[in-house]
Amino acid sequence: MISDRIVIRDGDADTAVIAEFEATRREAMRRGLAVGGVVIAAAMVPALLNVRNAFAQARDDEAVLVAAIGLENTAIAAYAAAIKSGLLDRPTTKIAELFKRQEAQHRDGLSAALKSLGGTPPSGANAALLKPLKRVKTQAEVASFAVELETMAVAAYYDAQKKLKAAKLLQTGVQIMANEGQHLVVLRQALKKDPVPNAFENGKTAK
Amino acid sequence: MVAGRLCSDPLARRSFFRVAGVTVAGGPAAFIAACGAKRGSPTATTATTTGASADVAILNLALDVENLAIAAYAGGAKLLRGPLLKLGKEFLLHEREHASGLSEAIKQLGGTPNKAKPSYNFPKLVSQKDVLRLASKIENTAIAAYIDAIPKLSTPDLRATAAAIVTNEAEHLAVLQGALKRPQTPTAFVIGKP
Repeated sequence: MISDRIVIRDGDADTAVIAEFEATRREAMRRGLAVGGVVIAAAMVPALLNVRNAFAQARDDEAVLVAAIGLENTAIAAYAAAIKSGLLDRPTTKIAELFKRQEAQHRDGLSAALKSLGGTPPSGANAALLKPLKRVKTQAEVASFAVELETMAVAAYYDAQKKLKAAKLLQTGVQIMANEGQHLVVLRQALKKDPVPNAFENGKTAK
Repeated sequence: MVAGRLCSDPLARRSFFRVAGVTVAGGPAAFIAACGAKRGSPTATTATTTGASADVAILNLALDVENLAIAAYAGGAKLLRGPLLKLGKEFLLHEREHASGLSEAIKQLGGTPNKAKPSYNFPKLVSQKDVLRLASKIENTAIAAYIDAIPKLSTPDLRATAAAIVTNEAEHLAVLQGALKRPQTPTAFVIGKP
């Protein structure tokens, strides 16, 4: 069975996992079995790893917040592009608009926290992460792209729980992580997938 | 792929604890390792005795909420139909996995896991909607309880695992709310309801 998701774990294993996934994807494409989700997921791998590395390298609360705001900026841009694409039907457009607003609320909350620590919120999205979105041709492919993005966000906030020190930031982080998980439920349901496949939702277990 | 199997297979996780004979330092960390830490390199956790006993108290409170949820999903299953019955059974398995993981972590910290009550005083359930409403209430309670607890846990790995459970409960809630024809993601910051 061909998975349309890739699991990105910490450390050296990443390379092996990517190689394994890439081999599977190439084989699938050779046999003409690839579906949109597989191609999109594979195209996102290098950029996803960059984001994960930003969280992994964060040494203090300020650095985690900077990485998280960058991630939220990218999610906002992704939903904006999805809405503009003309590929979404009316109900799905409304969902994308809601998710975009919620990502913006995350960004604003995180930015306020960063400013209170004396930091400056970054602006701009991760262009590399958004690149595969230019290739999508159907609503299902947009949803698959969003699944990858939200899954990566859950994984990033999961990692952030191991880095953050301030109690309030820990709570804000998990409140956002839970919301990204709820976005995943809606997206999975739209793709006719199991809406809650993992008892421990850490963004790293593919099912 | 050991970590992946441990994360997805509660039986494997239990047997891992038993066979590995892990210490307090490695135990909860191994539980966490099952859900995302670096493979082949158990996370070092330096829980102090005070931290460990406080963690046990917090984890036991979480276990009480999980046992409540298990009773609700198990008792409500007979009123669920079709796809919702399938999901209800899946959610029950998730709550059991949480309870199992929490119990193991408590034992590894030298504590004794709280037992489930013989019965719970639920309101009378007569319809599928009643079950969905009760489950939503319990999921909201669990979310609020875990979010309150997270900063009090003494190790980063326990906090991350609790966050993974919160996110799962929030996902359950989104499904339940959808089935009740209510907004599935009503707020950008999920806080639950104590």
